[in-house]
Amino acid sequence: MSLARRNLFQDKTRLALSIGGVGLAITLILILKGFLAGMNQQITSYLDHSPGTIVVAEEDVVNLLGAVSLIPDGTKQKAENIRGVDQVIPILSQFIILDLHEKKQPAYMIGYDPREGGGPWQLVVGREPSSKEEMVLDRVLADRHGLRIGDQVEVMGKDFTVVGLSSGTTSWMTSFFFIRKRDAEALLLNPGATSFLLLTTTKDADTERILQRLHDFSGVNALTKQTMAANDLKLFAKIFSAPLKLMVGISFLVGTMMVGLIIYTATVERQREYGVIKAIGAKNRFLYQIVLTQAVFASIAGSSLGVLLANGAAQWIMTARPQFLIIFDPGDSAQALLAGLGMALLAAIFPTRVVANLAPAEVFRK
Amino acid sequence: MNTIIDQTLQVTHVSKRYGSGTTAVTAVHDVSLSVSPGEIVLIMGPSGSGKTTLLSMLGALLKPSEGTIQLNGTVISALAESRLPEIRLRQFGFIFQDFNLLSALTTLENVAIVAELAGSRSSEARRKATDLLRELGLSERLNFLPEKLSGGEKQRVAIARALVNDPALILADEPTANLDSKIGQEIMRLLRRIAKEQRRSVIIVSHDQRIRDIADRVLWLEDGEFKKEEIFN
Amino acid sequence: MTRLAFRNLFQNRVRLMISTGGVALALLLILALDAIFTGVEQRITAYIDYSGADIWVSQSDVFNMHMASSSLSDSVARKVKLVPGVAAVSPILYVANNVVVGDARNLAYIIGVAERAELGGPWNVSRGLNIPGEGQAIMDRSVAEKSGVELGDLVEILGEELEVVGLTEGTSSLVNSIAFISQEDFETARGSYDTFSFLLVKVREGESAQAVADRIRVRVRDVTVQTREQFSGQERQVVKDMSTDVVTIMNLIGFMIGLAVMALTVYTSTLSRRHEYGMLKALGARNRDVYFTVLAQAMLSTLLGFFFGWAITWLLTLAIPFTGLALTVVINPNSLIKVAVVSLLLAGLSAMIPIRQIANLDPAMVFRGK
Repeated sequence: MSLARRNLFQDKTRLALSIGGVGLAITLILILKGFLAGMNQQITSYLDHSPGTIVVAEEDVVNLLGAVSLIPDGTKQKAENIRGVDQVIPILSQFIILDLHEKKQPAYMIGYDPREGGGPWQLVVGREPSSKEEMVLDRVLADRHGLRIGDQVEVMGKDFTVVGLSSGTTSWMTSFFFIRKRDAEALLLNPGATSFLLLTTTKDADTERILQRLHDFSGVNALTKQTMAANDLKLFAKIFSAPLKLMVGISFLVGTMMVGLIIYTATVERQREYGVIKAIGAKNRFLYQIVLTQAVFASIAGSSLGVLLANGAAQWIMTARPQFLIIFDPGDSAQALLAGLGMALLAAIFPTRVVANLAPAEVFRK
Repeated sequence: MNTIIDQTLQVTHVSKRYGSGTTAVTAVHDVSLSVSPGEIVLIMGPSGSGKTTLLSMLGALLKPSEGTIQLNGTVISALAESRLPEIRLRQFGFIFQDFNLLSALTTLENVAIVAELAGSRSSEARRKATDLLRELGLSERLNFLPEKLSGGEKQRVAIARALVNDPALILADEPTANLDSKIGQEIMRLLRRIAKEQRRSVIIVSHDQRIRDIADRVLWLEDGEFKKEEIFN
Repeated sequence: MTRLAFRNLFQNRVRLMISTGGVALALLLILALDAIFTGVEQRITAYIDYSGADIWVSQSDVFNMHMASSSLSDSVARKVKLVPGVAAVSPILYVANNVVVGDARNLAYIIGVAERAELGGPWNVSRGLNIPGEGQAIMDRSVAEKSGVELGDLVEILGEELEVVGLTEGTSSLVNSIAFISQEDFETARGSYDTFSFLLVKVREGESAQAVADRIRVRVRDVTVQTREQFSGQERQVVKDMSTDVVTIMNLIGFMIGLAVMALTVYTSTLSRRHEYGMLKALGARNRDVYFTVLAQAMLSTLLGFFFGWAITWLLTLAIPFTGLALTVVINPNSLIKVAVVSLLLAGLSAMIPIRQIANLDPAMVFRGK
């Protein structure tokens, strides 16, 4: 469609600006989605990496990162006696607000016994806590606040010494940090308390039956780690889905408008030319094709630019603010192109009507 | 003698060359002309004769390669670029073949804006414009957009616009080209009346033979040079 | 020239709509996100602000309510009561847990209040009782609706089956809500006798909350004492600190999108008027006169976009309650100021593009063939 191409390229600045606008809109959509994907990964990272396949929580608690959970005393011993259960790892955990450099940092505290497990799964430097008031902090969080091994962090009034830095334990909203279970009990003024039990099972154990047995205990709820992780994801999805959809919707509209503007001006400015073409005998369909081709080209170019920009922007964001994780799926690029096409089709509607209503007689008017 | 100072426009040995060396094109060659107040000069000639180039130079839109152009004693051909807009605004009035009215402004606003550009306050500009338009018989059309005006009406608006800053010289490029013959004649007679009553010089570039009826002088331009001159009384 | 700018802008309706719409949407990105976070701040502090307390006492070094836990012994309540200037104290028990209806678990902050508590109970009861007795619960109306719960139905909280006797408004957010049960039920469920979470304090008339708070701090050891404003501020701070980076990124992107829209609009509209602008120059307008018209159009257009963006955000705040989403959207004056400044920047920057366009217009073009 060389007429379409020629018209579109005739004004490079205009084309560049329009493609740029579409690109930015697509970039935003991609970044929002990648951000959500990254966050989902971060949210479930503890459950993904902690030992065990079953989690025992307080009755009616189905999330790790939701309600506060405290299980009745003696549950650990009872669980250990179930056939098929190999290890029972207790943790005491809760959301805490850390005050770091005048900034409030929500953090999820995990009190665990380093001999039993349930602590950080990847230490980049240092070691696990071995004596009173030691902690392992996430390395990204530590970097953001210039904290290093040996520094003190105040948790609920007590000073903890950073003895290790972990990775894979942060998100933009919150971070995991690890202390000894006994220290957590002291902080929460609740000696012997346990939030969750992480159960590992023997090789040929019957998970269903174990869950059944656990359900018989009073005051507890047992679920597979996968289920719990899925629940956490659902919880966070709820928080973000409405605002996210709003932003994505707005971006899509903006992209459409950009394409619309360029196609509209290209069409309206060419009314005379198109009128001539009509007078010569070309059917409307021919002109529709021109409009559509221009729209499709502008949006595909914009979408491609958007994909590139999104990758670049994501890299830049993650470097500047490492607590953000933005993950792109190969499917995302395909979706971006589709979104671009969607914009093209919508944007072409009005100019197509303009073209359809053009009277061929335009040409002979002065 | 006072002759030279009396002239509105004094064009002396003006040439315009484009390019250089062997590929140089001379659009206008050694043209001289003087126009007195109230005089109507018609420049005719075939396409490519250099009429447009000459008109552009006379209107301070283009600098001559050689020669001088004086307007009421000021050598405008020697002025810096930055001073030319001021000259055009106050000393010239332009009339175009396509009328060239601002499509988004009404009749009144089209005339007033030129006065505002010259520094008049908005209310004064509108007053001047209204008076002029009334004189030209357009009092019923003050708030119309150009698209609603007939060709003759549009040209009259253009004339009002050309007059609003009290210019010494009016330059018209094919003023009747887009008008039917009866209207064209009316417009030309109107222009002649204004020129004579207000002692303004008018230079018209046109193909239209009928304009000869209102001109005081007709100059024939061909290949960039004045070949013939006719004087009417 | 302003008149010309105005007329030019409105002459081409389609272009005006697209550019105003585009800018409005880009600014909406910024305004909406700000409004969402402001709404979150408001929801988070609702309980604190409406509890009726002037002062909050919590466990030592606990400065927040959400994402925190606090434990105080009963003796603290007795000591605080004796501090001069204290008119009333109400201890509350507090935990983040669930309201269970059948299989549905609704995350909620459970507040245990004494029957005769002056402070800390439900503040906006639309139906039913306004303080829960033993065996009773008061929950948020929209959560109840979503779960098909009505007054008289049973729900499970902290393992206890309780009858819903009251429904409240403004006590839910996207993620969780607030539910009130009796102090006795809470203690029984958690086994937490002789302790409570927070102490709410009302000061005597004429006393300043700050002064009384200072007195409490001196006389009662191992507690954190904050005025309502301080406590509220701490909660808001959590949201602010958390959201800063996200807001910055969105602001940047929104700004760039708005700039692209405005730049494209200014460019195409200047281009389409080349002939008229060239003619104006021929008539004697200087570059700066023509440029002023273009700049004025950019400013007007952006200003319109700003107002539309604001209007749409405002409409959103009205419409969202009807969508059933427990999302609160609140327009914040600081946000408006910020976006207004952004708009000015937008207009100014986008208007840089036509500077060369106009300067390069050759006025002699009027006499040459178009």
